Amino acid sequence: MAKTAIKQSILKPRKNLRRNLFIISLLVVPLLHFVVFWLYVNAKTISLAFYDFDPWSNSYKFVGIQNFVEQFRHFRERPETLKMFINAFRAIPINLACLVLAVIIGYAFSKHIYGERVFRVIFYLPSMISIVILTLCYRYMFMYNPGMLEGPAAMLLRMLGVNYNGWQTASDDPQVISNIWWLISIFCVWASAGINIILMSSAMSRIPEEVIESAKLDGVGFWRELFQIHIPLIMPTVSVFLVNSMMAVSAFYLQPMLILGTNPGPSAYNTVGWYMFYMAPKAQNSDMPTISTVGFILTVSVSLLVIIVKKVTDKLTPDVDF
Amino acid sequence: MNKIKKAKRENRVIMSVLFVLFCIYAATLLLPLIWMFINSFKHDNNEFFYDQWKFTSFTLNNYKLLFTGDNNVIGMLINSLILSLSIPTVSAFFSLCAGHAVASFDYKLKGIVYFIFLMPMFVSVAGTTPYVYKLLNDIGLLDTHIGLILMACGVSGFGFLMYYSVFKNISRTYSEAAMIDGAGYWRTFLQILVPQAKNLIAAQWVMGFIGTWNDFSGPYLFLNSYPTLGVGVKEISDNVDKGGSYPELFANIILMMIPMLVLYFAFQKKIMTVSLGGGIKG
Repeated sequence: MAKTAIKQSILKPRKNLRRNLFIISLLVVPLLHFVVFWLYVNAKTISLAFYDFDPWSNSYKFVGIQNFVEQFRHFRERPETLKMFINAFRAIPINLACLVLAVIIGYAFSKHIYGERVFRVIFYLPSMISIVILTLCYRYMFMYNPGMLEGPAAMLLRMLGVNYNGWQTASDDPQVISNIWWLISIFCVWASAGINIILMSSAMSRIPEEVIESAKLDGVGFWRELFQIHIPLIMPTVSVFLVNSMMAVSAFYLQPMLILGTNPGPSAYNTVGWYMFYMAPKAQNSDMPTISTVGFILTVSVSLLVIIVKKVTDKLTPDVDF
Repeated sequence: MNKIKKAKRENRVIMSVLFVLFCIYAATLLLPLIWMFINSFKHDNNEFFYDQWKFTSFTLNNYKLLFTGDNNVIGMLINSLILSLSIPTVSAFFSLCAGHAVASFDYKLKGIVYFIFLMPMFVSVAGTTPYVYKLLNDIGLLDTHIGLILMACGVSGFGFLMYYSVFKNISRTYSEAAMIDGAGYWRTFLQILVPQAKNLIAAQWVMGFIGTWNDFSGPYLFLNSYPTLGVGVKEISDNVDKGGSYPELFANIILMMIPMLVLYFAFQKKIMTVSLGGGIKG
């Protein structure tokens, strides 16, 4: 007994050392990655919003909130800088439309609509296909080049007697801008339903059978069951979805960019994410403070929105466990 | 009783309407793909413009051109494969490492490490892309495959959480038994613990493969001189707008889609269980 105790006390430090070395070897790469690609990059992005580049000394100088004052002046004087933010926030209504669709489709799936399995497979298909291909599909469907390509959707519209003059080239005409934004929004909803359906229907599948059974016995109708039973019970999932969709605001650029097919696009279609994507390869040291300031303003407004959304959805979530 | 009947009838009517709408939506998803497939076998644009829905002619020339034409599709295919095979692998490996380190041992800084790996899930700062670009440029990894792969070596919140909970739920007696038998820490980890998570790893890996294969902005920004299929298809389509051959582009698109469709139909159930993201398709 005493012998083993001594043995252990001698062995323990060595064993601990080996264990610690092992833990360090597991963690060293992920932690380094975190420090470089997360901590450093984020710290640099945020801090440079408060600096300005001085070309004479070739260094950054602290200027306090001057960048923000200037940025807000730009909002008033140059509408395209403000447009960029407004367009980025279009991602939110688009996400909401996706959510409504996903809830209705998921609900129909949970009620085992005829052909559920086949629909599930087909609806999820866009998630397997590159957005580049999806946008091309969408464009060619609606393409109308007189004498050349008339896409099937354009043909259908013409046969239905709609006065459709093709995939309008981006111009500054407000009507055209609004049309193209509609095309972009419809594309986003069309292409994103699948993944959201999975999210919603798996949340609905966790609702206990008895709850739905008892509602059925009470003669609860289709919509009432959706609004009073399913939606409240999947509220936690909806809340996560909403928070994610707020965060998606800064990453909203591929859809307008690929649908328009140009980079850089005319300012009427620019989003903050697109601006970042466009600036990345060509940004000089002197551009960095502006980039940081734009990013910072978006980060703060998105964070505020996330907090509000969390508060509201927490209120709407019934306090039940199942 | 009457009420229940009424509700049932209402149900049936609404479900029928939804069924029709679902069929239409499914058609809009499938028809463009079929349309591209049919037209990838046409000789040239004129034949394609003439009739878009029939096999008026049949040629495999466009597929042959993929491998012999000027677009260097083979190069794109290789770039896509390099990235899609390596990125999910390193990402899974380091997520496993991090999950194991936090879930299976007790030490002082554990709480902080756990917190660090979850941070990227909750805090996202806008406007970092130009800084990442600059950083890669400064360390000389811009436009190299290594740079993109290195960026995938981190631990993203979701994958980490999954592996963390897997290792947390594996009883420590397993690894203790292996250690008593003389296995080292690495051997215990790789031969005893990792295989227990293999279903999850496979599902995550397939999702990662698909995500990387379909990625556009990563390779476009950070690997500009070595276009992947996604970037290449975009470039070829830009040329088509200026008068290039549509059927050739369609053949290219089909080539890019086929591996994904194969994976989809092979791993459909698995893919659906791990894809719990959401939002706008991007």
